Amino acid sequence: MLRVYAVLIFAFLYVPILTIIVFSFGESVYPTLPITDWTLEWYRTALTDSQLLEALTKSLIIAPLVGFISATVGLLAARELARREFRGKGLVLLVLLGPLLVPLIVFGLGLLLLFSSLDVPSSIWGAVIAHSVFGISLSTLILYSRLISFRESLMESAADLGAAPARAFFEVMLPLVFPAFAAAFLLSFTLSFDEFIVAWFVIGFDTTLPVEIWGRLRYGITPEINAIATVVLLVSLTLGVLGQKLASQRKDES
Amino acid sequence: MLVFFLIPVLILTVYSFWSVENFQVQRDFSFDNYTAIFTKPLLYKAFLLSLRVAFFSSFGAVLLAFPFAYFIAKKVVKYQSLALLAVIVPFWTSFILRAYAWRILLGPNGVINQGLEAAGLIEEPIGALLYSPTATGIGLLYVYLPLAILPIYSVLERLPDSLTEAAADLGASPFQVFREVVLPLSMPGVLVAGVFTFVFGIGEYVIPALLGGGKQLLYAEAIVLRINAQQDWPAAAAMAIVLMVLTFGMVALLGRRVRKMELF
Repeated sequence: MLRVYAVLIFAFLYVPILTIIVFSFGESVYPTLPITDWTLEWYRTALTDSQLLEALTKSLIIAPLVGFISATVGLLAARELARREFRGKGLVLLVLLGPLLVPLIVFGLGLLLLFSSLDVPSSIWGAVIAHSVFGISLSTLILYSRLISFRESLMESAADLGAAPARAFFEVMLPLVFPAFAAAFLLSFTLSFDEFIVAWFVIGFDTTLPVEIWGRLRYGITPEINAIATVVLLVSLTLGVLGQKLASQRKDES
Repeated sequence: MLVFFLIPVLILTVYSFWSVENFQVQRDFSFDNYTAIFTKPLLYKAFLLSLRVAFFSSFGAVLLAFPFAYFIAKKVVKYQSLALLAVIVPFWTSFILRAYAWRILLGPNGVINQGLEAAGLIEEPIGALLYSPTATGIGLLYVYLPLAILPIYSVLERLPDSLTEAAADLGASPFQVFREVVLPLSMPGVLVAGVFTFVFGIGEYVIPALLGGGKQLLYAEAIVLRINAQQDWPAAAAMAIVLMVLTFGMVALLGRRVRKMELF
């Protein structure tokens, strides 16, 4: 009984995603069953659509930057939090949760008002900053839970044996926290690659891929969306799986 | 990071007390934007509808999540981490696209209507499936289901089997074991699941905008309307502040409740 139920829930979670993928190969302009003819036409349309490609390029510039900024800042912040006990530490951890809890529309609007009152022209940097705020929160929490089990004495031993701080960091700490660092990078990347509302608010006329997809979805039937959506879904599924696997590795080793 | 998070919130607060005249922001001070939320029919209706849709979808999500989480936590041994991974991963895929998928599924010529027709259950497509608050509710339930499963899973996983066995040995029926042992002890997870899916649901924009049809606006849609159609930033800011206070307020209450429960 329970087993059947679990299978149904898995189906519920995955059928909508699979639907898009299946229809991306269907010939009909309208996504209706049955699919009589199969085609790769929509992939060709999507791949020759310069507007879509431009949006994809922007997303591919923003997402790695966000991933890198988030994982690096997150590592430094998590290390301070993990090796020191201080008053108000609980509060700091709570504030870190803030960006992950705040309704996106609130944050997007606030950031837009901030940028416009400072006369910052809208550009991809707005999106990089906005997404990094979430990314840093997420990364710090991932890395913190990893670093809690990292023994600071290892760094001291390295120093005693004559390693410079930078060397100790790169040769002792980084290898040990690398899985969590990579997880933070990948998950922040994915977060940024898929995020829509905040990007929509702050980015002005430059569009990221989700913003471009949104624009097309609002104006009727555009079958090439299914093709680009399939690509996007596969990218985020892969990165999500990798990121989660790395993030949950901590208990098995060390 | 704090700068980029806290300052936008402060600016929103300041804006929310200003007003707008002829599309120009006036820097005065009034509570009008706040009173408007609870007196203008368009706004309070949107607010109430959001509360209702979010409530039903989070209730549904917790209800669906519980037996599933129980199954993963207690019955799956070998592939437990794989099963968990499979639950989390959809959460990392594009929000817009997961909502869009439901437009394909629920539409008048969509997969669900066609399936029901083919099965002879209905004679003509149910038009109200898509572009209604119901569709929004289904969409919300779908995207936040993983978020409901995880906290319930983590409390059930820590629940020692010896407790349920002891209750059964002492003559409790399976139903009694569930009601008097499993449910009370998993309450923190259930509350976390419920509150989080609820607060995310209230502030959701993408799903109602894609699936809701625009006839009955939800709260987040009303905020965007204030900005796009009327350029009324202060009103939008006030609405955003109300949403944020509600969200953080509920999470704070939840934090206190859960901490109390875990104490004993």
